[in-house]
Amino acid sequence: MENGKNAAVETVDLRKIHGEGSTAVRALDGVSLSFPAGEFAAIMGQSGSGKSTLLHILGALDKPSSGTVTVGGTELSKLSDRKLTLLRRERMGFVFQFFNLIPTLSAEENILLPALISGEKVGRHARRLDEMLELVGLSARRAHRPDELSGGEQQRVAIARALIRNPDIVLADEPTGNLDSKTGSGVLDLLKESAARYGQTIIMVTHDPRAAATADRVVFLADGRVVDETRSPKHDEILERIKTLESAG
Amino acid sequence: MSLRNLGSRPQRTLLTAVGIVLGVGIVFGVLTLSQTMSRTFTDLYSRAFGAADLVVTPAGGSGTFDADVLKEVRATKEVETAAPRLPVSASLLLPGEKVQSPPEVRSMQLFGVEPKSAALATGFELDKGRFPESGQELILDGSTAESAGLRVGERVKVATPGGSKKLRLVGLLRVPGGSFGGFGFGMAPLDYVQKQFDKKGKISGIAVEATSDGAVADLRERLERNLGEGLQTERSETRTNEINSQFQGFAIALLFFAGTALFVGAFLVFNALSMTILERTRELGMLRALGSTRGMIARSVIVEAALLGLLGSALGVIFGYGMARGLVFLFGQAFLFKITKLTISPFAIVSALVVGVLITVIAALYPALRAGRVSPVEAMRARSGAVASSGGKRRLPWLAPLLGLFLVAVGAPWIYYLAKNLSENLEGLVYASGLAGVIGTFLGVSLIIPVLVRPLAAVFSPALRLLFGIEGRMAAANATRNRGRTALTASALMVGVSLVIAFSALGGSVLGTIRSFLEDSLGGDYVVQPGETQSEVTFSNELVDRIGKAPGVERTTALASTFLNSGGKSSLVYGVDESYPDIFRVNYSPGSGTPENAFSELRNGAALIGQQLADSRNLKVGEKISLPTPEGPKKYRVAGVVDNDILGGGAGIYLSRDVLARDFDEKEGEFLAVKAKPDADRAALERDIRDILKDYPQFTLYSNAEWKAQIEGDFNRQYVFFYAIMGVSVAVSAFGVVNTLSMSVFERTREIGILRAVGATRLQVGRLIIDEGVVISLIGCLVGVVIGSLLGYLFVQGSGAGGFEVSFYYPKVPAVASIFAGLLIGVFAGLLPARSAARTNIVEAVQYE
Repeated sequence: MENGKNAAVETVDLRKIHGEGSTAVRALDGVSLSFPAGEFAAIMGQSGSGKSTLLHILGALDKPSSGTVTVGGTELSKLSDRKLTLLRRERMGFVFQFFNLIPTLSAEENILLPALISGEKVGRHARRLDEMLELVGLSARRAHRPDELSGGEQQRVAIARALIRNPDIVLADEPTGNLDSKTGSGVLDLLKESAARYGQTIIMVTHDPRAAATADRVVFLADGRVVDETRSPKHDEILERIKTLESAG
Repeated sequence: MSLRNLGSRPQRTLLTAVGIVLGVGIVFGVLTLSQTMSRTFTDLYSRAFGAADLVVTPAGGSGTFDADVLKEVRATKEVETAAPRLPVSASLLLPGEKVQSPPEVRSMQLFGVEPKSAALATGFELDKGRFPESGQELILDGSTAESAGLRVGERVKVATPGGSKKLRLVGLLRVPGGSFGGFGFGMAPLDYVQKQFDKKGKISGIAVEATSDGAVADLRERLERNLGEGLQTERSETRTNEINSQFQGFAIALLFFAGTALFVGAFLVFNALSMTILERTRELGMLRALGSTRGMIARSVIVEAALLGLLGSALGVIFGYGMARGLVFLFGQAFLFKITKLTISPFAIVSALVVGVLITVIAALYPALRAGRVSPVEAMRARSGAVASSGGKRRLPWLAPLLGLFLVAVGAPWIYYLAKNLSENLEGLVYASGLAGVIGTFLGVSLIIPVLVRPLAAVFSPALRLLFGIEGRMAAANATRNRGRTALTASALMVGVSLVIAFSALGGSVLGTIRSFLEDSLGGDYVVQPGETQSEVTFSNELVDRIGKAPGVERTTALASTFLNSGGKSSLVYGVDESYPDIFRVNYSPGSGTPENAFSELRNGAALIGQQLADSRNLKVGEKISLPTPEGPKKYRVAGVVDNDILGGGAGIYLSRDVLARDFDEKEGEFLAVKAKPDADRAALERDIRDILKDYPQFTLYSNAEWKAQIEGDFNRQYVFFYAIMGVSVAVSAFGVVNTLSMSVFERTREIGILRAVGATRLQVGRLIIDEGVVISLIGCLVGVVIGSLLGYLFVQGSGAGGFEVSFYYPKVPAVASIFAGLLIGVFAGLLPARSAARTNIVEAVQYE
């Protein structure tokens, strides 16, 4: 585990226990990780490995039972719900598996949602909005509502939403899980390009080796522990490692 | 399993039950109230006037007749006993708190009775002591005596038209229902009452006991035949039933409110059950997969609803009992009439329970069918609340609004037509059809509201956006997502609000018209009236003369009146003196051909009549109107038609006081207006009149302004009672908003999660829900104000049908208050759902589909 000095996100001995006593489940069991700024990291693992729990805790959506999470030098456990909300608003972007757009808002409004929620003037973001729409290739469909967009288009809107305020960290939970492989790879390219262009830290949870292969680094989780990791992985290499893990598990 | 389902979701069960509890509670409360009132009054009435087999009264229903009739009755075959009576309005004068302070005045009905037949004259039973026998003896009802601190043997002051007299209390009467709101009953010897109340040789009723039960019918016919046209002989029950039927209209109006509350209750059940079904989709799908048939699943939902309905209805009856207590108390406050004992009838309990369970089961039908239709596959896949917009495209989307327009188009003119033409005596079918018109209009508007939801929400949207940012705009959009549900919720509020507005319009217009009449038409400066509102005490001419002679008084006018019943129609007959037109401005109807000197014709036995009466009976100047006097019907020439007949509400009949005294034996005045000389010293004048009134403590001097305030006070007090009932139905509707918002939160869990994830604070998501509530309730209140104004206008047209127009005063304050209430209801209804939205677990909300 390297402890990069300019780590955008860092966890120390993170534990998350669901339930109590004999029925207690250790979703995370001492995870210490560090993600340097600008890194595109993938977290892999079977279902139940704790990868989603980790992502939620990193994204300040959930609280750990013990251990610390530091985002951009701020320790999260000390923050109130309101402070956490503001942190999410200011520094983070989220992409979910189920696109999760607000059906009553247009594509454009969905992209602007974080800014709108902050009560910022839309005009301030006009240029950024155009840029984002262009980046995700939806300039022509900006006024459409989510139910008028295809799955891939919806996920692209969600990515544009995550990027609109130029957050330090983008957290993606199975962003390609509900897409066909061609659309999925388009979405991954988009994430990667954005990380390169804006210097963002991207942390993606996935169980799709092909998706993981686009990342700079892949962290493998099993039973709530980091069991392995690799840099600039190839698709075959990832499959190989998964096999090893499975036989070990 | 149904039972376990209820138990496993206590909060949902509670929310659903609240709807039923409130709905059933109101139905039960209202039924109990109306039954309590009708029981109390009929009990009392039958005690006071009708314990005997038959009763002989003037054909007009009120007034007196010659006491000699008694001899004739007694001489009739098969008459066992006959007891004369002469009830008069009197006042009990109790010593004031301090020696110098004016006496406390208690209104009472004093029966003049013959000592030997006193027991039969009324249905009151003797509790203590004996019936009055000679001269100055008196007997009072027990609770009045007790509250006044009077004991048998003591002397008590009674106010009579001629001044106050001292009588000795010789006994106590037992009155059913205990205290009658401070209103007392008493008896004194007939000849004494005749003398003191200026009714020498007169009585107003004879209670007759037949020799045997079988002889009653024959005897009735014989008396009818023998006693002539001026008198009528009825079975006691007939009179009592008449009183009872007068409560029907009141009860129907109350039940109408209860009905709306129940409708909202049903809607709450529908919503809550739909929510439960959505939540259980997965479980239901599994049951289907395991081989449950659709019918089994639908049945289990219905059984669940029935259990819930039973539970809710049972609680509702308890709640309703409390409500009835409250309403009876309010009724007492409003009409200065306390009722202590509630009448709980098995009918009310059973019907409340049956209606409650039925409504719940009916409301459960659609959710139950939907539960049955859950496919096994779909259910295994779907996550609880994440449901796509409900239903898909409707067939014939224009059908419902069109039907609504049709209903309004038929209902509203029908109300108007009825109001214009038949307001004089709304009865039976006509009354029901008017009510049907109102219900039809409401139903029609409810059907139109779904179409209005989108444009109205679009109107609010920019304002909300401006005030609350994006969550305001989203809230407006959310309100239109399930238009049917929003519309139903808003409709319920609409009904309550529009009734409030309509009643305010009616009340405000009547009050406004009275006010403007007092300002424009009353030329006097002072009014002498009984100090107690419900008192019907009268004064003799001696009082009028004394006040008329006071220095500074230019002139006075005294009014007397009697109430006539003929052929199912009632009318008020006034006796006026010559100075009446100098104090009250009298406008004759243009086009009626009323001559200039019409008023002076009254001296010669002619009559003036109100415009409405002239219209409804098609009477013209110069024709004759027949009135039932105790000596038989008499005809009076119509000398003129009065346009501004505020006293009789358009149906009044004016005779000279002398004629009223001669033909109807109504000699005493009940209302005195005083005009001061222009240069009079007002303070001295008031002091002089008050000095005179010391001998008549049952009367009070009011300046015009004070009197106006008094009338308005009475009016408003009575309206509080109706507002309270309407308030309950609005409150139930507010629960509908809570319910709909809870459903919104539940359905939009995932969206709320996203909003929180991208940085919306708890406050913001809470506001999202509250704003939606505001949008819904504002739609309801706005439409309610519009419809209420329309209905109010129609009601006002109705109350002023014919000659005397009630001018329409728009209820500005209630209208503004309703809009404001719309905001408040939205906010308060949103609080709890907003809290649960704010507490949404982001991870759970976002993660699963």
